[in-house]
Amino acid sequence: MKKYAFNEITTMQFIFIISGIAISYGFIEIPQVLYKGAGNSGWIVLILGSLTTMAANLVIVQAMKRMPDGTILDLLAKYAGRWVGKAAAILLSAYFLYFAYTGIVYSTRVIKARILQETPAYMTLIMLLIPAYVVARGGIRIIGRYAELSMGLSLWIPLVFAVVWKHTHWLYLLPVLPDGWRPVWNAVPSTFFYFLGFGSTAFLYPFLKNKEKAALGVCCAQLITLSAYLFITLLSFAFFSPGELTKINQLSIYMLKAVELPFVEQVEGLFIVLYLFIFSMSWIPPFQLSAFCLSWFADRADHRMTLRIILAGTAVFSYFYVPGFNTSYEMGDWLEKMGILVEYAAPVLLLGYLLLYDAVRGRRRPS
Amino acid sequence: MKRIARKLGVALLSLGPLTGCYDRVDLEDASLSLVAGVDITEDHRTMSYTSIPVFSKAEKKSQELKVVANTQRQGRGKLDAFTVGSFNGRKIKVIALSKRFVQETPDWFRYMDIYFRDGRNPITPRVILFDGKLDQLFFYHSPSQPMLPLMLMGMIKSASDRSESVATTLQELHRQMNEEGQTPFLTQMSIKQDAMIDGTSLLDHQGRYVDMLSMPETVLLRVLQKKTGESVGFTLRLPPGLTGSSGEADWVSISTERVKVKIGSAYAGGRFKFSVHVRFSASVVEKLSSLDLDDHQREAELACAEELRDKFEALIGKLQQKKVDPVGFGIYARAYHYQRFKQVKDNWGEAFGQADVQIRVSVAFADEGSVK
Repeated sequence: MKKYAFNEITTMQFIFIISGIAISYGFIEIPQVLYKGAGNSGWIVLILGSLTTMAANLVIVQAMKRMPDGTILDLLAKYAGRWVGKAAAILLSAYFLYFAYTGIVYSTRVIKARILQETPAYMTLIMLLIPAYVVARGGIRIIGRYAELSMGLSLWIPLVFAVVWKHTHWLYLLPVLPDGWRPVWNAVPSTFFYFLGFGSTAFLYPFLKNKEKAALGVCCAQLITLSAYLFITLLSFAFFSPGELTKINQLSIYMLKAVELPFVEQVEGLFIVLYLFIFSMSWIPPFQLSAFCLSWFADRADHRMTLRIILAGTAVFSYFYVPGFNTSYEMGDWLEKMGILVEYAAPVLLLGYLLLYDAVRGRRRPS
Repeated sequence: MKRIARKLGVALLSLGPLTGCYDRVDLEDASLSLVAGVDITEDHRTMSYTSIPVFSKAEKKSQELKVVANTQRQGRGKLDAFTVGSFNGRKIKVIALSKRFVQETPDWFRYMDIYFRDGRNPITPRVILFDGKLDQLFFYHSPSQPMLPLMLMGMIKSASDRSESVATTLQELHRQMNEEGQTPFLTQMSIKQDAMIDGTSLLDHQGRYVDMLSMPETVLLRVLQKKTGESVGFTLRLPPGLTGSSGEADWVSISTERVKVKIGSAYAGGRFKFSVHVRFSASVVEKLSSLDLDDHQREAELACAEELRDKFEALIGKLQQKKVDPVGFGIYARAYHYQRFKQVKDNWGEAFGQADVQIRVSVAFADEGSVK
């Protein structure tokens, strides 16, 4: 039975969803995190973090191979029982909801700080929810197309950063590894947060048209994420003096403020507005996945009702309270801890369980 | 029918939030400040200055104001009382600091915080140091110059395009203030006969005013920084033995085509060593003596190189004596001798003062011009 036959996504869409969710606000924050962790060798940390993530992601694909026509929830229900599936559905729904909420709050805060200072934050947040609903209600396939569109529309980003080229000092990248390898190793876990989102593989897998290309797809997705991060990290390290790197918030945006073009002012404002396409990848797919898990829990095929409830709840809640910048960073810290559990540790445990399960059953069957 | 009605309803509903364009500013309601200034009163209170263009058919083209305020932001609030529209700092192009403010205010750079912290403010204005009271600058109306903002912007741009002055933006200053291996520098201006650029102010790591460089020295500084614009010109004196003439006819002017600077670094005997090799490829644009360049090109090139080397050495000597490093030798020291640099990073100026800097200059004439 092919449950999701009418909602297939191409490999390209699969790649873009995974890297889109990861890149979103990592692109803005990661240079500083890397610098704080390992100084100007932070880019090495990035490569190591990316390799780890790729491995974790391949583990998920490996586990999902046992269930080509169902999501991780179906897999759990089959192998561990219906109620384990239901419990996982609730947990993952909460996780993705929190993921999406952190993303949307962060974006709102950036917009509030840089462009719409006088507009109340809840207004901005609620306005962001409207397109989120329009896209997310269409299901995985529409999300896939949206991911393709938003990545395509963002190809200009490297070009706009080329304008800061003349302000760069490449000597800042030297010396490589000034304090040895230890700070580099220690900083690797701090990058995991900015790769989160690949857990969505476990839900996208059954929708994927060419399942044999899944492993290739996740590798491509991680490579895209890595190259985007490497680009912005190296550029920031060459642009800012070492003293500045720890003092300035949102380096990527700040960097564009130094740009002077004869025909447009406040390039960073323009950048934020257009970058919302990428930002939105950090909340639209997670909102949808959250709704998906919830409707799976309730045994409903249509996720639109749960999506409406989730989004309306977010809107009402935001009317009363929108976290500040520092709170949003704290939320990020919590998300990091949860994310490492859910997306890095859990898949490994799951794969171990599945292997064990097969081994035990394989031994039993001949008798 | 019902579906269309519902869609229309949703569309109308979403128009609701749009009425709240809270951030709209009409140009008529804004007073756009183009030049900001900071000075101190006799009793060391900070003063904010501003220059705002007037678009109506008033007698004057711009409005200049000053108020005494504790911070820049407070100053803006006070300035608002004088302006027609609401004060707006988004278009500030030049920030003028008085020399006294920089000399006598400890840690003066913190007054610039508003530009970095408030996302609405630009970080691209040019920062200049004005030798004198800002009253002089802001209430100065040159009969032969355009209004203050245009005058300042034009002067800085033309001089820095010829590499005769620096054009430090606020962000560049921020980078320098947060850089252990380089000391900050600003364009220095004053009013003598008319408003003019004096050269480059040199500040130390804490931002204190140390000394200034003249415009010819600034050219050399920009060469060492590898920040020369299109081409730079030098007027040099050839030795009388070569030209055969005496007195005033020894001058030759060259205009560079390509400048290549290589800076090597080493550490030996408890101090840093830098070897600088500057290579000019230049065309001769003026020659007063009757020296035949076809026959004596090599000698003339060597003579020019020697003359330039003396100038570079004098500049480096001055910088080392004052313990400032606007060139950024410290950046090389950190990149290649990190462990050594770490020991002196809190006071690089001192370490640079003791460093050994060797300069080699070579000049090659690419073109001797249209006449022999």
